[in-house]
Order: sequence, then C-alpha cells, then structure tokens
Amino acid sequence: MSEPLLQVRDLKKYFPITGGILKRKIGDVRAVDGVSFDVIRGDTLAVVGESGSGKTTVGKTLIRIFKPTEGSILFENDDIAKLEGNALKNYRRMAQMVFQDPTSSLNPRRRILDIVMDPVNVHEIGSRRERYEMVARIMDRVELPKDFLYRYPHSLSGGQKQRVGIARAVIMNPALVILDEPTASLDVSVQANIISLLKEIQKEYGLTYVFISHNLSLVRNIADRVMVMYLGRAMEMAPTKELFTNPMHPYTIALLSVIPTVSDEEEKLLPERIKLEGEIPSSVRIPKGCRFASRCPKALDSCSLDEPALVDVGGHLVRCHQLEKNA
Amino acid sequence: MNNSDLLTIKDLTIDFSTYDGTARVVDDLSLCVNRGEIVGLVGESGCGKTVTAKTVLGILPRPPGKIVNGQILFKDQDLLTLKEKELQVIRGKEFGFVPQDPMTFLNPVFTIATQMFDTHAFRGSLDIDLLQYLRVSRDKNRRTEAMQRALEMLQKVNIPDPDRVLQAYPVELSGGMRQRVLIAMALMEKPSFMIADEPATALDVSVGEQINEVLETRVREEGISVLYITHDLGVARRLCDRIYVMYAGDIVETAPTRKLFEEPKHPYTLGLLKSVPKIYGEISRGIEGAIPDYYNPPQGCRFHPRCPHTMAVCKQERPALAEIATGHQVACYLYSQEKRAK
Amino acid sequence: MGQHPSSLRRYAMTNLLRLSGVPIGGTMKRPIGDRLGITGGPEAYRLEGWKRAINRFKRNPLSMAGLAIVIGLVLMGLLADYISPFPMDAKGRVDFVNKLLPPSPMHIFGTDEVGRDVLSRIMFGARIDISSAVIVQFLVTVVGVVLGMIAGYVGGKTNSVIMRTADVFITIPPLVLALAATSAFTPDISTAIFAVTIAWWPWYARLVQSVVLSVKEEQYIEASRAIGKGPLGIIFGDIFPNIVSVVTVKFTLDIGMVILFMASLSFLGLGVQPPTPAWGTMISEGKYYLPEYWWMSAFPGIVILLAVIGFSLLGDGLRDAFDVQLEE
Repeated sequence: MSEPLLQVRDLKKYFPITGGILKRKIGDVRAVDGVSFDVIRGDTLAVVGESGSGKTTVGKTLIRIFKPTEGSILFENDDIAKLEGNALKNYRRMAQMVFQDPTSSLNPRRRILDIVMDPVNVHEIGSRRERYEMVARIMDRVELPKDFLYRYPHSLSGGQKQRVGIARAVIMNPALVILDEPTASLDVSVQANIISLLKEIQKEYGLTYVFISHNLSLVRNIADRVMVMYLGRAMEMAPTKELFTNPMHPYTIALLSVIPTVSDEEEKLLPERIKLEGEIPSSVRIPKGCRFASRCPKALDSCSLDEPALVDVGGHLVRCHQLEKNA
Repeated sequence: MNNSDLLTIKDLTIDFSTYDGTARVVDDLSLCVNRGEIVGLVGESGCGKTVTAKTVLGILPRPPGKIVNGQILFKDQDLLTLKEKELQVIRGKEFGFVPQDPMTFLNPVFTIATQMFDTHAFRGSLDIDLLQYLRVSRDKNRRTEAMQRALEMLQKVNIPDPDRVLQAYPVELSGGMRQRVLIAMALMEKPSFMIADEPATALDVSVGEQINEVLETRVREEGISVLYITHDLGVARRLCDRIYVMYAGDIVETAPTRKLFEEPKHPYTLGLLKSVPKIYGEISRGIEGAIPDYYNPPQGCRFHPRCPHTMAVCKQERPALAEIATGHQVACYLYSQEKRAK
Repeated sequence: MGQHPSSLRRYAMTNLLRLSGVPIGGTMKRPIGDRLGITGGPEAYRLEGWKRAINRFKRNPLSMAGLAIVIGLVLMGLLADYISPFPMDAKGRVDFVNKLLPPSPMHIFGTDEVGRDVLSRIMFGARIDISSAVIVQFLVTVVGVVLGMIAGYVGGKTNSVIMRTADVFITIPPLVLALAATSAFTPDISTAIFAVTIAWWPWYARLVQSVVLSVKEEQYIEASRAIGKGPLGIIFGDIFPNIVSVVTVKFTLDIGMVILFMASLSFLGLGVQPPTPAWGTMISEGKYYLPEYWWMSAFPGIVILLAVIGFSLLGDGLRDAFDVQLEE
C-alpha cells in the first residue's frame, strides 16, 4: 500500500506580469518555483507556509485550476500536467478540492441540492434517481439534515457551509482531495469538528489528502508528512512527528516557535521564540542564493551566493547550506 | 471592580431588531479593565464581542441595535448617557482602536502622511467644516509638527523605512505594514485606553506575532489599558493579564491568565481548550451543538444545550458570575448556586 | 396583437426564473423527500426563498401599489371589450355630433375631435401599449442577455467587439435611431417594436456583462471548474442565477420606460396607425386642441404616467423581495 498516488517533479507555476501600453510581458510572479514530492495513497501530506509561499498555488495546480508552467504531475502514472479535454475531465472525477472560504466557494444563488449534486451531474454518474440517493447519502455522512438541501447558502453557518463544500468534493468518491485551508475561517470548536469529520471520511472512503495550511498545530493532528514552503520552494520535508520533535530548517524552527500554545507542557515542546525580522520578499524578485537568507537568524554571507539544493539529512529533506554538511 | 478601574461595563444588554424578530445579542454583561492592564475578551464568532466593542466606542448602529440596559463607565462617566458630541471628544482624546482589517480603516486615496496628519490635527475635535479643514491642513507649522510625531510613531512600531511609508498609499503596503500604521495612529494621541479587535487574525503567523509584540511593548511602555478581543486562546495567553471568556452574549468565566489555563472551570472553556489542536497531537471532536438562536434563546443557562454536565436547574435559571477564588469567577451551577439577580 | 399581455409577461417571467433554479410552483420537479421517501410530505419541502419573497413583497405597501396599478391596467386592456362604455369608438366609429365634449357623467374623460369616447380608447390603448412594451422587453432581454453573457465570460476580443458595438448603438440618441429604423420601413407597430429593440438592447448587454465580469472571479466559479464543468455549464448554471434578479428588475422597471418611449414614437406618428388607439397617438392627436380641449391629451398622458409609476414600483418591489442575498 505504499505506492505513491501522486508524484510531482519540479513543478513550476509562473504568472506573467504585463505592463506598458503594449501590454508586453515584463516579468513573472514565480508562485511555485520548482517543487517535488510524492504522496502515498491513503496518506495526508501537509503543505505548510505563509502567504506568498506558493502553497495554495500548488494545490490549485494539482487539480488543474492552473496549468503548470513546467514540471510533471504523475497521477497513477499519467502526467496530468499535460492533459486536456476529456482526459482532463476524467481526471477531475478523481481529484477534488475543498476551498478555503465556504462563503465564497458556494454560489449564493443556488440551492444546496444543486451545489452538492453538481459533480455527479457534470460527470453523468448514475441515473437521475441514483444521483438523488448519492446526495442524500453524502448529506448524512457530513451530518447535515436533508432539509438543508432546499436552503440557500446564506442561511447556513460557516461550519455547515464547509460541510457542504466537503460533501461536494467527496460525493464522487475521488481518489485525491486537496484541502485548501479548509478551517481557516472557522471558529476553534467548529474547526475541531470539521477536522474530525475529515479524518473519519478519509478512513472510510480511503481518500488521499493534500492539506494546505498555515496552522502548524492543526497540521500536527492530521498529516502524515509535512512540506514547509517558502517563496515557491520547499524548505523542509519530513514525516510529521519528526518535523515537530526535530525541526531542522531555520524557517521551520521559527514557525514552530511562534505557535500560540495553551499550556506550559505544550510550550516546553516547542523551540525558543524566534522573532523573524522583515517580511517575505516579493515573488517577482526572488533574492539570489537562499531565499530565506534575508530573514534567517543563522544566515551567513555565503548563503546568498547560490541556492541550496534539497538534500536528505537524517530522514528530513532540507534546503539549507549549513545543514548540507550533515547530509 | 475597584478604584483602579478605567473602564467598567455593568449589566450591558443589547438587542437587535431585524426582519426575523428581536435578538438579544448581549445579555447582562459585566466586565472591567484596570489601569495598565491588557484584558482579553475571548469568544468565538457570534458571541457578541465585536458588538460590545462597538458599543464601548459608541459606533454601534442603532437601529437595528438597541441598548436595553446597562452602563459603560469610563473614568466614572457613563458613556451611554453622553451626547454624541461629548462622546466624540472622549473617543478622540482617550480611545484608541486597532481593527481586524487594516484596509477598511485606511482611506485608499490618501497617503499615510495625510491620514496621520488628519488623525493628529483633528482628533477629538467636533464637526470640522471644510474651511476649517483647509486652514489647518495648510498651516505649515502644524504640518511639520504632525509629521515629526508621525515619523516618531512609525519608528516606534518598528517600521524600517518610515519616510517611504509616509509617502505611500495604503495599497502599496503589505498587510503587516498597514496594521503597524494603524497601531501608530492609535498610539499617536496617547490614549489611555485601547480596544484591539483581533489585530493579528488577518495576518500571517509570523507577521501577526510581530504585531502583537509591538503592540504589547508600546502599551506596557505607556501604561495604556487594552481590551484585546480575540478568538485565539493561545494569543490571549501570551498577551493578556486577565481573560474574560464570552459565550452567547455573556461572560461565562474570567480569571487571571495563568489561573484560567491551569484551572479552567466552565464547561465551555474546557470545551474550547480541548478543541485547540495540540502540538503533541491531540484534538477533540469540538463542542456538541451550535450557538443558540438569539431570537429564541434557551431558558436558563445559554450553554446548557451543549453542556455535558447539564442539571435541572441549568435549564431554568441563569447562573450568576460567582467568585470561586481570588479574581476567578465562573457562571456555572457546578461551582456555585448563585442565581442571576432579576 | 393576439397575445394577452399578462400571460405573455407571466410566461416570460416564469421561464426566466425557472431556468435559474428559482423554485416556482407547478412544473417544479418533485421533492427529493418524496422520491426517496425519507423526509416525506410537502411540509418538509420548504419553498423557503419563494414564500419569504412573496411575504416581503406583500409587506411593502409601495410594491403592492405598483402591483395593483399594473394588474389594473392589464385587466383594463384585457377586458376593454366588456368594461368600456363605448367599445366601438376604438374600432373606427365616429360620431361628429358628440365631438369635443368635456368630461361628463356620460363620457368620464370627454370625447375627442371625431366624437370618440376618450376613456374607451384609453382602455383599448392599454392593449397596444403594454403588450408591445412587453414584447420589446422580451426581445431586448434575450438579445442583451445572450450577448452580455458571451462578452463577459469569453472576454478578450469578443468582449471588445460586442461592447464596442453596443457603445455605438448607445451613442446614437434612441429617438434618432428609432426614427431612422421606422422611416426605412412602413410605420406600424412591428416596425416600432423593432426600432425600440435595437435602441434598447445595449443597456442590457452592458448590465449583464458587468455582472458576469464581477461574478466570473468568484471562488464558486473556480469550484465549478474544479468539478469539471465546461464553459456552457458555468455560464448557464452558475452565472445565470446571478443575473436573473438584476435582469428581472430592469425588465420590469423598463417596461414603463418603453411604454413612454413607444408613446413618443406614436406621438410622432411612427407607431400604430389610426384608428387603432394608442396613448401616445392620442396625445399627439389631441395636441392641436390644447388648451381649451385639454382632456384629449391630458388623460392619456396621466395614464402613461400611471403605467410608468406602476411598473417602476413593481420592479423595485420585485428586486427587494427576490434578491436572496438581501435576505441577510
């Protein structure tokens, strides 16, 4: 059971910037600048980073909302980066997304029934009656009363709306589900509820998750592996427990150090608070050398010369000149 | 509640009348902020914390809001009895506010310099007309003085390049930068009291951390009292001296920070703490049920439909906020038999 | 016109609304509860949006007033044969003996220069004016919506072409455009309809295009793409419901304006030809007799005013009642 469902190699997504009267291309926003990873079937890979890291772009590229600029995405041995037309539509049956903001990802002028039934209608799965049954079943599974089906999104709470989003994503029983910060806009108690639901559904339906988030403590509770991104590249990748008990990359350590905790025990498990100076550079002008050097508390001059490669250091993949020695 | 209180809210009750009926969104709420304290008001969305904040600032839209009962005592003056003009003076001179979304508080068509100048020159003034505005803006001396102060404030909030920021428009700045500008603007007039409404929520974790730190340093330095509103218990734990936990329009528990996290008592507080994902890998299933329908709230304790320890009395009458240890109060029959006075 | 204006309007509205998924009684698919025998019974099937919308509408006295006026005028036109005191006056009878009589109990609005009862002619005039306005609106809506959606969704050059064409039509004053059209063909009611349609469609295209542009970037559109919906599915399934309320409101509001516009055309002699009564023509024929014999122009004018007010109030009321998001 450990063949990878997804194999991403050197994925790049650039967004062209046009300027001037003639709208010529003057540069690129390099949202994702070379990312490679595998996702094992049934596992959850967390993609972690702050805004500007490229994590959401990775997610959207994986389900082809964006078309990759370069690189390959092997899904069950097909390169979905190159797919078009019907083949692409078929892929969409297998890979779905739960969006970040439940309010804007549900069409306010459509009933819940239409929204949840959309995927099976689009892919013409089953007969009309069977589709209604699928909708009824999935509403049960996400613990929403069936008479919500005739309501409009605005009369649902945030948590309920997100369940609709989950129902929509899972109704076709896809193989892969990308979750783009699914609980970011929800309250803590609702978040806990949704995360439990997601975990249960994953087990029951045998789903593979790519969980995008900036919330590290959440990631600790749901992911098997974690990939920490910064400015379009992976800085560290490791199994979850490993990453938290033995973080290596300075960025990872900094992120862990500012997690708000609710008890002393928890606080003791985290590194000493590191205050990162400055802000993330723009993805248009990527700094030379290591991307993190400008904010890294351990940076040396040599770090800004060339970009480090991702190397294996004691089971973690890290991108740091100073850690390379321990490879 | 004692003499070093700066702000005291007593029995505040606010109703909202809408198309669907009347909702009691804040019900008999009392809290206080002492001089020099950072007090946290922690609650999830819909609990009424923003409504409370807006009422203190006097910017609650009414209608549809209606203050049914209560007092808001600031330096022994009841803000609710003041006329708009008097309130404006106090708001301008004594209060500072840091909002959740910096962008909505900054006018996109004016530079930071202009906005900071306006804040400095007109804070606390009443109804400025156009002529007055032009006269004051053109006054070179006032401009220089204001710009000096603005630069000073921007430096204090750790903005690395204050000259550039002054000349910039809000859209040119990042979220963290804008929030710092707002903190600077709030601090400019040396307020005695500040309300921070989830200032770090909309920002990245590391940036939010910086913002919170800057805010904390500055308010401690000047001895400003702060009511810090948040839904994030972890942040409250880091920043606040005392915390009020709010649910469905009322305070359910309050304690000095350490106490609250070491010995949480109210079932809601416990539920919340359990729901927070832990670093050692533990997360609960959340709290059963949903927030009550404010148009038709449950009788008795508003939390009882979701509480694992409900008793008969909980369904009948609301428990009072009773003191169970120094500074630690809980509104729950598990700990005290006190009922709310009618 | 063979069509009854009210049924035409109702048909148009019903189908527009139904296409967008707004639940409308009658031909609605059976509730899922019934199908699966789970929730069972019509009580579980809450036509929430619909019922609430009707209640809202009823609650607003202005909307109800608008509805009353519109229904009144429509009925007036429909039942003209039965309720007008002198039906033959609208069909070619003349009565020189009774010409130019001021308002009296016998002729409530007086008679015109050839002795015809003004009130009866106004009643029959409702048929022409209202039904032709509705037809125009219908045509304009279809053309404008289709072009607007294509322009908005496809964007790029297609958008530019369509919008610039619309701009051309907008810059030419509508009356001039209508005059040009009617002078190219024989002046009668269908020419007038054609003329107004070509003058009016750009506004709808523009409105629809701007709504489509703003909706296009919403996350639920992205979500639909992620599901695998093609452009047609997205345009008609996701974007269309968003434009329905806007277009319906404009549709109703504008009927009043179109009535006015077509009255102007009839006034200039470019619409309906005598002896068929139309309000604008009546004003035109009566203008030579002002101010002594004021009733011949005044009353049709007042009725036009009433129609415009009625449709405007109705349109506003519809918008307030139906906009799902306003319910928040």
